[in-house]
Amino acid sequence: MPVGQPEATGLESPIAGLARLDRYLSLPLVFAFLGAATFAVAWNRGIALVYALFAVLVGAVLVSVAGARWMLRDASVRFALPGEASVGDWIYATASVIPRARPYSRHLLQMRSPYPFAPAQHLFLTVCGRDTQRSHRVLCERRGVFRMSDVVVACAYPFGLVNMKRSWAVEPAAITVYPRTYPVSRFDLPTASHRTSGELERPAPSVGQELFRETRDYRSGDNPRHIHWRSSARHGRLIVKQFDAIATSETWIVLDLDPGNHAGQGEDHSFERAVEIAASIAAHLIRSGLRCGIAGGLREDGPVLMLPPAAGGAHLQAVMAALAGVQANCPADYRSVLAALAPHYRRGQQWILFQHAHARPAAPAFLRRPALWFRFDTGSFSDTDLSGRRLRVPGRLADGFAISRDTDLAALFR
Amino acid sequence: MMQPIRITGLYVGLWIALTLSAAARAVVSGDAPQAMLGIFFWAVVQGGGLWYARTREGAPPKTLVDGIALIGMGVCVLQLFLDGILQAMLSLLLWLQAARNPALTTRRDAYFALCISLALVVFGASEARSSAFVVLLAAYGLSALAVLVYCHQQAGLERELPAEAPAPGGDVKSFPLGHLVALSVGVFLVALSWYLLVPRPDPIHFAAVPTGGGDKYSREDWEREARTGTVPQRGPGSKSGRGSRPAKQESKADEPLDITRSNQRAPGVDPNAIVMYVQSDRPLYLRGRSFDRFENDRWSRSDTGTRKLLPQDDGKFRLSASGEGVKVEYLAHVVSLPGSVLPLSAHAVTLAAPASVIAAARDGAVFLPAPVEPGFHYGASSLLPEDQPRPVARDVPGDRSPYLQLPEEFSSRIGELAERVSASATSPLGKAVALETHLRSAYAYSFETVFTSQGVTPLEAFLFDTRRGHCEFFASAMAVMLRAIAIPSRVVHGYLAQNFNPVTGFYEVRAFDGHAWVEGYVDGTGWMTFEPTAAYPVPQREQQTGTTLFDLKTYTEGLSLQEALQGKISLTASVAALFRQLAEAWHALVFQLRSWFDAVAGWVGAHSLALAAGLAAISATGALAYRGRVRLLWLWARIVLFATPRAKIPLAAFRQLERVAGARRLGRLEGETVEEYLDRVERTYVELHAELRRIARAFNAARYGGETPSSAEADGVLRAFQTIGMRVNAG
Repeated sequence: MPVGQPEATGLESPIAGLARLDRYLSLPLVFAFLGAATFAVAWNRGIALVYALFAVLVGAVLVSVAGARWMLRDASVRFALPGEASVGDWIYATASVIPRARPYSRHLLQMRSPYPFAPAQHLFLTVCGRDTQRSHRVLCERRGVFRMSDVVVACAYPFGLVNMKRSWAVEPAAITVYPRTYPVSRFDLPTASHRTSGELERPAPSVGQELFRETRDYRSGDNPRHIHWRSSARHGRLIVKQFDAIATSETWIVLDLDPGNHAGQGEDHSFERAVEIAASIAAHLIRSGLRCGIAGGLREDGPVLMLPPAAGGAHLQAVMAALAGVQANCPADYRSVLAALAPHYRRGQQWILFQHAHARPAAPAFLRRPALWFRFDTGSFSDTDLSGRRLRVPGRLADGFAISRDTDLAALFR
Repeated sequence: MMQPIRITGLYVGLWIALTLSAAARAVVSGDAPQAMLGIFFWAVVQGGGLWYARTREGAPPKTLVDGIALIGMGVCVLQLFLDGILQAMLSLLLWLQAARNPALTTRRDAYFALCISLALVVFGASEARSSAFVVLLAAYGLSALAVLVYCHQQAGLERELPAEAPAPGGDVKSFPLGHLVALSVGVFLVALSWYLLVPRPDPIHFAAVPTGGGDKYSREDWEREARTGTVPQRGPGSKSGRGSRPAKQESKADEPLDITRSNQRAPGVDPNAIVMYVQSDRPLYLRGRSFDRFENDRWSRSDTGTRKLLPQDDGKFRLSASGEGVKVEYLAHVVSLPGSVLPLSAHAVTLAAPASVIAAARDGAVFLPAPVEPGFHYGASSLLPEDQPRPVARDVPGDRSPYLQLPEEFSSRIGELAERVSASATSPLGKAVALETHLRSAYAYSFETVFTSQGVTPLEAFLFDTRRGHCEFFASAMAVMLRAIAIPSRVVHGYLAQNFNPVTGFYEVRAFDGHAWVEGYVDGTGWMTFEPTAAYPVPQREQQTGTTLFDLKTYTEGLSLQEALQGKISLTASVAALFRQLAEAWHALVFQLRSWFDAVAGWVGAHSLALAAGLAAISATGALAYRGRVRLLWLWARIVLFATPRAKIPLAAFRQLERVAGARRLGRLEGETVEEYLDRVERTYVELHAELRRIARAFNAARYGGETPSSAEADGVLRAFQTIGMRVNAG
């Protein structure tokens, strides 16, 4: 036996076995066992005092049945929430119960997951009634536009022996939880033919600038300033320059809303990661004065998510609201989605695309400059066992980044 | 994951519960000063550990916990030798809990402590004999219920906070104390109703009585005599072995019965002092010694011979051959009994007692090798006749002359009285009953000593002059009068177990219950018990009613009667009257309910075929309905929507959709929003996207936007619902 190691006592296995029994133990089960044991002692010996003790146990059970039902009589719930928050924020919420029938003071009520944006948060009200409120902190875990709906209230008043549930109406309240965004300080783009580095931090050309494409003969009405004098002198006639409108300060972010391409659960869902990436980039770009738009999905009448690139606070609000509510519920091929967005392409735009499907889609043909791809390892999101894993720096690809379940998105934007 | 307890009230409740559990053990195990000391000690020890757990952070020092546990182990070993294994185990429980208290920080620890306390209280309740123990039970129940409430509150708070969440600021709002008291009162009222009104099953008494010889009740010469059958010669220098009684004690067994002295009011004896507790399902006449020789003012035993008995293989003594009759089993716990005679019911068949040998007289009296000490308990079974309620002793008198003996100076008036009273009866039993009835009706019960005049025996003075006296006079009078009409008789002295205390479940036999009655021999039956004393009931076949309320009424009435006989006025009579009224009210209610029940049962019996057919039809319909529940729900949903006002159609449509989809296992989950729910439904029924969205929009607008739908919108919702329903209905 190695030095320093505690000597095995031979009890580890039985103790471990007893510990496994713990998960089967519940208060009602233990209470029933003790009640049966008390009754057995009383019955065997015919002892009235032990019957008295058994009567107290029976009384506790009967009061529990009636008490729980009584506490769950008609009532409604009112929540006071901030209108907006982001995933990962701690917000203050106030809950109050408005009884509509006696008793006007309710005790030991439990609301399981009353907040749809915080499913792990339960609420326990020791005492509540018309004049009492309960304020508490809630961690926003899910994004979305939430309207508080009926809440299931459980009550095991007063001893925890008999648990009953009932659904109570909730007075209207809503909250929009935006996706988590990471601070973007540095974000590398793949090199383009006309750029040596692609940091978005450098101000890009503003909208309206034109790119010289080719020359043609002068026509009446052309701007004399566009006359290409050297070519005109060479050819002996007036030649003008032809320009293309460029949009080098515009970015499109296209999400894949096909549920079949995603995997994972909760905040480790691959679509949630994509939304976080999209929200972080969009927020950074728009706050930097650039134009950014988002799109995704496809139905008969067009893309499901469609916000053309724009700038300004209102647009940022609209983008974040859209990203808060978008769901991966549109089974459309990503290539079809991109094809549907082709009419919205303008030269100079930066397209940020997401690959979730196993098959690697080709870049759209209409894109003149390489798109920035976020390629997801969907298989890693299906893996439920991440014990001992640490967050890793995202892998760089020639045309983007490799994202897996243990990718540190904060490091992606640092 | 369990978190540290943050509720002070939980610790306080636990402290009270543990202290009371230690008190429950102490009050039944030792005398009063020792019990008080023990309670104080455990209150300090348990409270100290709990105080430490509440006020200190982190685990307690290992030396503290180990030290307490070591002390407990040492005390346990010491008590093992001094008080026996049961007391040692109970002590160990308390010490181990005391060692756990400084580390008591989670709910599981609190529940474990409650279990320990419950075990101790159950032990105390099983050993307690006093009604006052109910107060301790009530206090324990209050504290244990409080601990349960606080533990439940703690569980709720643990579930509220995610593991990594910061704790909320400020103290946890505690459960209102007034509400807790009201709750406990409610539980006690329900418990009291259950306790008073629900009948209890007959006890089974498995391993209830210790058997086998103890050192205290053994005697070598008796054992030798039992084995060999020879009576040892007594001479100078002879040894009688361990546990031998001195001559003084032996003579006590042969002490005559002086009829002029009432054993109920013996000097130095409190008539209300409890001498033994008896567990039985009916009142019992517990026979001590019988007397057959009468000499004007005293009775004696002409035959003092006994046979010695050893226990059988099962540890029990066989006293007589088993025969026909109703078997009655009873347990007796001795508090204070004089002498070495064990009171047993007539025709005792078996005896379980911690003795190595006993002596049984021919008349059924049983003697221990040593005087009965407080704390002795034994169990026995007797046979009662099936055809009549009077206990019957089955020993057959070979020579009847001792039981027909009359004193030399027997007054002829007594014989004439006996002839006159019994003239109308033809059978010996009838004559005996006539004498019994005459004495019960024509004579009064009194503790007054009869002053005799010259030439008049005390018995004559009782029968013809004073016409009042105590039970020894009544029994002597009847026994003598039976002999005067040639019926063998004897006077039996023992105890009457008639005061059943339903709170404790024991018959309380007091010194006042020391009694004398008559056994008359009837050919073909045996020694039948007769009760000539008017203050005592004639032997009946009555058993306990099974409901505590009625038994309480009987108990308090019996106590008030005894106190009245002793010339005392107390509150017991008023309490008895209250219980009587309660019992009568309950009886009337039960009678009415039973009448209704009988009427219903009669109707059901008369129409059983039709009912069976109806039930079968209902069952078949129910089965069919279950199979087609989706269709039925859909049909019902359409009816509901048809009857719903236009303004509420979106709400009703959504609710009905939930129900219909729920039948297809697509019910709305806990905490699921409307949109999420419909998204989930849409994943199954992709083609219903437009309809589901329409309903969702309309529902949200009506529910949260307060909008009233227009006719077109309502119609649209109905059409959408129709489409959805038909699709879901199809499967």
